[in-house]
Amino acid sequence: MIDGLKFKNQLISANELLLQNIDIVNSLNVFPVPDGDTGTNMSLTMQDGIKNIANLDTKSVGIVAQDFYKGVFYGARGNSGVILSQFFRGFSESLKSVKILDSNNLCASFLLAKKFAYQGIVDPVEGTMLTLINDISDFCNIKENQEIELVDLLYNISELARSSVLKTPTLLPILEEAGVVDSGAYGLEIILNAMYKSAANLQIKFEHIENYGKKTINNNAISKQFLDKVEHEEFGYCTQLLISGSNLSEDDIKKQIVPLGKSAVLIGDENLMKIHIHAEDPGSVLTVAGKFGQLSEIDIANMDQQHSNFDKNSRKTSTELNLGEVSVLSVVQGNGFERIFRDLGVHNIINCKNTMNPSVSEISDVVDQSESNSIIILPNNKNVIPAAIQVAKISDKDVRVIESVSMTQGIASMLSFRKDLNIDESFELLDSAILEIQYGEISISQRSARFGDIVVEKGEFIGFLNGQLLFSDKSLFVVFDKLLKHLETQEIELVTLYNGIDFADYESEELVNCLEQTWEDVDFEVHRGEQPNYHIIFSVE
Amino acid sequence: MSVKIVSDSACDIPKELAEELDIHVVPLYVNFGEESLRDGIDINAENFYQRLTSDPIHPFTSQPSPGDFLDIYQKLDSDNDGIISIHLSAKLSGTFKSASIASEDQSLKSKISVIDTGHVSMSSGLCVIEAARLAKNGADFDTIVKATNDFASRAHFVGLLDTLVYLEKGGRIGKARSMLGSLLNIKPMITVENGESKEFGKARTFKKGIAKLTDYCNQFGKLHSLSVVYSTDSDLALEFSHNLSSLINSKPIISRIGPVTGTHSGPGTIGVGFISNI
Repeated sequence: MIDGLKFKNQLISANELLLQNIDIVNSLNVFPVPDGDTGTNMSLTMQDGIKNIANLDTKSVGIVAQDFYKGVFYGARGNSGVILSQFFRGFSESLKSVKILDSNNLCASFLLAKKFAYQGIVDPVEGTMLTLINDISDFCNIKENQEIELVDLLYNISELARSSVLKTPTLLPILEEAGVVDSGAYGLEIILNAMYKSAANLQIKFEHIENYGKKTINNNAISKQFLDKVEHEEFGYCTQLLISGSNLSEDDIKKQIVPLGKSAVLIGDENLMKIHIHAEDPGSVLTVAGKFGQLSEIDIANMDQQHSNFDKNSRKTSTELNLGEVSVLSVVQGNGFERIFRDLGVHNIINCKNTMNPSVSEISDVVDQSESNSIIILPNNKNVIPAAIQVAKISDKDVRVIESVSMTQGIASMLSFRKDLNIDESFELLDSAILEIQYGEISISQRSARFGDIVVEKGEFIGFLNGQLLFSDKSLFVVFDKLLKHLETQEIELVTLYNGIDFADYESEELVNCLEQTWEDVDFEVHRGEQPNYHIIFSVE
Repeated sequence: MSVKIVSDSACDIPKELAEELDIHVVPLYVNFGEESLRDGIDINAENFYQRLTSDPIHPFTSQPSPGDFLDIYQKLDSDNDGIISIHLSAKLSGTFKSASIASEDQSLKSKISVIDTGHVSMSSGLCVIEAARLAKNGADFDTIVKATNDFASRAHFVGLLDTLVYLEKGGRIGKARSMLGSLLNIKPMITVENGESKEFGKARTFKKGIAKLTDYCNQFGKLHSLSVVYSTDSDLALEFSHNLSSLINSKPIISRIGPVTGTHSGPGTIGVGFISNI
């Protein structure tokens, strides 16, 4: 019998199993290449749900489902997090007055879960977690299945989830090419698997898919993103730094660093290693790390203060507002970009550290705190758009979302901002301005992979234009030159480069010198974006 | 006998056109330190922009004195059907005030009306030109005053600057101040509204800025009259006026921004002033 307490345990197990497998889910997130954050997003979303039911002591399934949904709704991060939260909305609404879970109302929950999951998505893509939700919903719609014993039903669902996950590459060609299953679907399978095992009193352990999972896991496919799983019960300092040197051995460094704290993550190669650890004594981390090479980008944050810092920063208003004026909230990554956006008159900034995925509640907090009642949000990332749209839906204020998918589009948009216009006029101007530029990024590939005709070797520079991976090469100049040539059909006047935090000024000077010789009629302007993950973010106009 | 039209040099009316239409242009002053030069008389645009970018002394501008206006009014005082003195925005310059003081001088016999167009450069200049055309065609004093105020209410100006530095140095930045001090290299666009300069937008490149100016003009449909103004790049002005030529039935007037307006807009400025039909 599944009552409120047992149902709560199911959710807690799901959260824990997902947390254990976060790296694997991240590593499956193949496109665009360096953006492995699906696992992190789903897990952060789940964790906020758990926080909301942790102290709950009720026998009613309905209350647990509703409180859990409240938590995931506000904690939803990224696309996968938003879909996941909508999935649990189905449970929340369907189980509202349910005390004891049975097969009938579980099936009803999955049917509603599908309805809500699809509702939130403007452009549903099959071969993702939506496919899995769809398959289970179809299964639950069959009358005989609604009469199966509850634990058996949960078993059937977890088996069905596996077969759904396995078919995702056949539905989404990009997965097939990269040789992986869909990360979001896999994450949801893990959740459903844990819920079954918890109900059946089995050991909570996940059997990974042999072919797909292992192929990727053995490929050293750690995403470049850092796992931003700051657990509140941990004390100490979140310590991050870069070691540069030669012949850096991940194993040796790991051996010495890991004992110094919790949640240690080491990412990099033999020349550059990024370390993230929660340590009581950050000094000892620096001392040990310093033995391996030169240290840079040292960032030590008191974790207890992190949340309040975030609040303070995001509420800091640089431009004075008069009553009734429209204000702009911009989601950015990198202190350089923050400066540029403030300079252009953005009132509120959410500056994301490692991944660009503020939750619905983080954005909505800033919206609430804003002095203005008319707010335009520049999400500046595809993954932030769904959360921003949610905020617009729930806010009492007039909130509009410009669907900017890059910070450079956000900048183009802000150039049209004028203080004297009302929100309708402002929205129209800012919205049309995002199309005035072409945007691109250059990054370093974290894996060897093939995307259509493009073969990418690990460690090569990869160039994106308007969100599409187009070229890869060992030479940064060659990649940039090819990207510009790709645009040559139109006249290029100005290329603006924003240097990443790992990209030194002299490196960009060298690059621009080469580019200026090849592209005589083009102006190149260089700024510090100080963003992580991308060497260069650029715009062409 | 006819109505006489007086204007000022900050309206940037091309010299030949002023002569042809019998417009009496009173010069403002450009001062490099102690050296005070009459706009368009002691210094022309060509010499001015060279000096603006090389002279360590930054110039300032000053209005004509009431005496300067009185001289002109007295010269025109006999043999007229009235004098209409049409000037740049009173919020941007004391020119209107000087003219108003002069117009009240007891020695003058003529009926004088001093009009503040609320504009600057050729968006003001076009009002003057239209008034002078009416005067040339024999329109009476009241008709021209009424028409001029009406033109001024339909006048528009948008301009693209290379930098805001000159507007700031000259103290005429007004509500465009919010665009100052940008980290990105930005071409500010300004407009004139309620007699003051105001932010119109920001462009990263000249071409895009000009496209935005063009869009702005296009939204008014067919125009009554139009003028393209420039400070240093005449080729660009020609090209721009060519692009806008379908908006009016006559040829656009191309006018070089003179030393007084140029002190505030700086080199590399291009703009368009027009009078709309609606």
